[in-house]
Order: sequence, then C-alpha cells, then structure tokens
Amino acid sequence: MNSFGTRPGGPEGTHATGTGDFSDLLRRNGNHSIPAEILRASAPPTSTEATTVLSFHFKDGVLIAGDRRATAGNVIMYDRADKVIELDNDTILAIAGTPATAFEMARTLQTSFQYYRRSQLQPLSLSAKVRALGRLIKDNLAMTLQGVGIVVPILAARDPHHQPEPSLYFYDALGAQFQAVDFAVSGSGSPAARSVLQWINRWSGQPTSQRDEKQAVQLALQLLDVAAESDSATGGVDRRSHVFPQVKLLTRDGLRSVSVETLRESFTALEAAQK
Amino acid sequence: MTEEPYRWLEAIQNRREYIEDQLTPGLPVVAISADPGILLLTVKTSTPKLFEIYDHLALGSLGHPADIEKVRQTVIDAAHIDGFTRSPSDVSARRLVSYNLAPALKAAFEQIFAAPLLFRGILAELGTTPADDAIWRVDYDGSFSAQSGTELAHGMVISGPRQVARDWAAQTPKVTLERGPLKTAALSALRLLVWAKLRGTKDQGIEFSAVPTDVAALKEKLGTEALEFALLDRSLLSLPITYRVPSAEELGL
Repeated sequence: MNSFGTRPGGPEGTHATGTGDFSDLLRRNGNHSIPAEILRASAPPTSTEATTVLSFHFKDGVLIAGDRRATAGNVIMYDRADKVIELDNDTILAIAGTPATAFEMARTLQTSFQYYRRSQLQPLSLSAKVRALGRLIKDNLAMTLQGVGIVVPILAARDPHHQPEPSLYFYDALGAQFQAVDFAVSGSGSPAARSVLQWINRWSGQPTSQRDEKQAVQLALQLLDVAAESDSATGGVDRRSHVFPQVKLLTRDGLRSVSVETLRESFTALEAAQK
Repeated sequence: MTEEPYRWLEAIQNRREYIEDQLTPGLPVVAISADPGILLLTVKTSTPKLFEIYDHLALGSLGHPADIEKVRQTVIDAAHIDGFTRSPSDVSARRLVSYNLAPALKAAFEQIFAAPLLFRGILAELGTTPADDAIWRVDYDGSFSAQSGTELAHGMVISGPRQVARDWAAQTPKVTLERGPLKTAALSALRLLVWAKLRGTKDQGIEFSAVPTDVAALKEKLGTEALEFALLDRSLLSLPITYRVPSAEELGL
C-alpha cells in the first residue's frame, strides 16, 4: 500500500476514510482466506469436530472451557492445543472444528476488533462482534459443505459500557447465531457434557447459575472428564502428563484465565472426595 | 504544464509555500521517550491529534483534520495488514514510514493537480527498553527523520512553522531533557511544548533554558489549561494494547 486509496464503492478519486471492516481490507489487498483451488476441489468429508468445548453461566458470570487434544482421524496429533482463545479483553472464543480454519477465524477476529477500534475510534459493539463470527462461518460455507473446514464455535462476550453482564452464544455450521440462556457446548464429546448439564440445571437442585467460581471450575473439569470417557477425540484431564483443560472466566470485572495450579488443586480435591 | 520542467518546479514551489502557509497556525506536538514509555503531548483542540495506530505505535499530528484522517487510516491499514499476514512483531515504524507513509505522501505532494495533503506528524514506536524506542518525524512531502538510542534524550517536536523543529534539532549543544519517572517526563514534554509554541509565535528567539519549570507558569505561557496526552505504556508491552490516556494527576499536569 503506497497511496491514499480510493474508497470501495465511492466516487473515483475519493480517499478512503475507512469503514473499519478488516475483512474488506484483506480482500482489497488480495488476501483471501480460502484459495480458489480448494473451493473447486472435491474431497471426501472427514471428521471435523473432534473436541469438546463447553460454557455455562455461573453465579459471577460465564465460564468457558475446552480440552487440549488435537486429532487427525484416530491419531492424537497434539495434547496442548489452545481451543479457548481471548479475542480481546471482553470476548472469548472456544473453537470446535477444523483447526486451520478455526485458528484463522480467531486471528481474523482478533485483528478485526482491534482494527475497528483503532480506525473508528470506538470499540465494536457486542452485537457486531457476535455477527462478525457468524459472517466468517457463513463465508466458510464452501469448506463446510465439503466437510473439510467446518467450524462450530462458542462465543462468550460482554460490552463493558452498555452490557457488563457477559452473554453466551453458539452457532450452527452455516453461521446462524443463538444466545444461550444457561449453557452451550460443541464438539464430538459435547453430547455427554450436554446431557449432564441438562440434568444439573433441571434436577440437581443447584443449577450452574447458582454455583460459585470454585464449584463452576470443578464442574467444568468433571464435564470434560466425562466427555473424554466417551469420546476418544477429547483429552479431558491428562493425569499422567498433568495437562489440564483451559478454563476462562468472563465476569463483570473482566476476563480471567484459571491457572493450572488452581485447576490441579480443584481436580485433586474432586478425586480426594471420591476416596 | 508538466511538460515544461521549470513550470513544474514553479508549481511545486507554489504548492510547498501554500502548504507551509496553511500549516503555520498548527500547534506543536511533542514526543518524549522515558522509562515508563513514550509520552505524546499537545494542546487540546476540538479535534483529536494523538492516535493509537497499532499495539506499540502511536501517531501525533497537525494539519487539516480530514488530511490527518487519511494519513492515520493509511498507516492503520498498513500496520494491520502487515501484522496479520506476518506477525505483530514485524510491524515497525521504520517499515511503515519508509515503505508506506513516505512514498504515499511524496506521491500526493507531487500530484500538482490534486488538492495537497496538509499534514505533519510524529510516529512513535515503543520498544522493550527506552534504548529500543524510535520516534519518526514525517512531513507532507514525504520527507522523514528518525530519533533512536541516545538521540531520544533530546525529545521530538513538530510545529506548524517548520522552522521550529529545525531550530530544536540544530541546537548545539543539544538540550538533554529530564526523562525519569512519568511526571518528570511530562514536565519536560510540557516545557518543550511551550518552547515550541512561543518559538513559533510571539517569542521566536526564546531559549529552552528560559522556559519556566513550574506547571502553572507553563500553562499560563501556553494560554490554555487544556492538554491532550497519550502514553505508550512500557508496563503493558506483554499485552496487545500499550496505548492509553493517563490522567492529568498521573502526569502531574
């Protein structure tokens, strides 16, 4: 870029003042997320959602967690994958699906949010952030239909100025967004976690929204452990290598990661209670 | 007209004189590198003149607000494209100025049939330590200069009258500003701001040593209480955002 460019759609010769749309800027600079050859290729569908990410409302806000395992078919490729990603100080994305596409979406959103804030001198609204992720998923339709690039994420976000209470959103593979009232799960191990969460919220007498932070963190570890029991693509808690899931909290006070030490203590306490 | 070289030169000269004339009322902007970070300071007006550009980059500017906006947007676009396609650590003020901003400004300046860009700016880059900081001065014609290492002790200033920055750079021996804690750096920045404003207006012979060291007296000389300031905060370097607007109390202003 070495000129003060023309604004797309504007009269010829006018200068860009910016729309704050980073995806548009990428396109104008010839940076397409999906190469045309891939769009034309026909490949057999492969397994695409091998993971478990989950989130639920607890007393102080929203908890969002994910296991660390990355697989390719039956092979465990990596056991320290970060699937719960901070997009900015008020937004967390948990990804289930094809890592290459999911990580690129996360990176695009991270840059998009900062780009908008800096260029427009105001932060992107909560609803625009929610829609931005839906649009990326929709733009990924060709990959989704071919079964090689499906991404079904969960988003936890808040607007510190207008809506400080965090909200929870989940998406379908075509980009439709839904606000979760109590919890949201995604990935191949999620049916087990969903069943447990439904039972807890309906019959346990202590729904997740009434649990404090300590109880919420313990529940997240239990849910991922249960999911890992029935889903080989979910890592759960790796007791031998001491690899713990990622757990992040979004509250009125902001975003926070639960430390590995805290997770270890929580899980040890859970195990001790069983003896 | 452009087929006749002497007329082209005349047109460029007229263009330069017009731009300089338009920029003359522009209030100075100061940047100073210190231990807590890089502080940018100017007089507050109805439109902002200090901006966040990228994780570790900030822009101070003067000129026409619409032209400042064009330049600001161009630098932000370039920085974010570069940071996205490579990595945030590959985004540097040197590359932005040398390969994006300066060529674009020069091209715009030499398009004699188009309206000129009324812009003068400072691009500040925060490093891991003060020795790694860099502060770049960029002008409407694409010319630029940089300060780094020990030169940073001198501070950077731009002003409407171009001569002010030249006078500051040409001083022998160069003034070494006190840059310790944030309040000390802020006081030095305010003194430089007052010097630049006086030098560019009613007291063109003023020496820096004659500038008051008291905040109230400095504001009186400045003719206003309202200041605009921004800090690239070194303590935030591990985070994606180092740009913040400190409180006046924090700066002792």
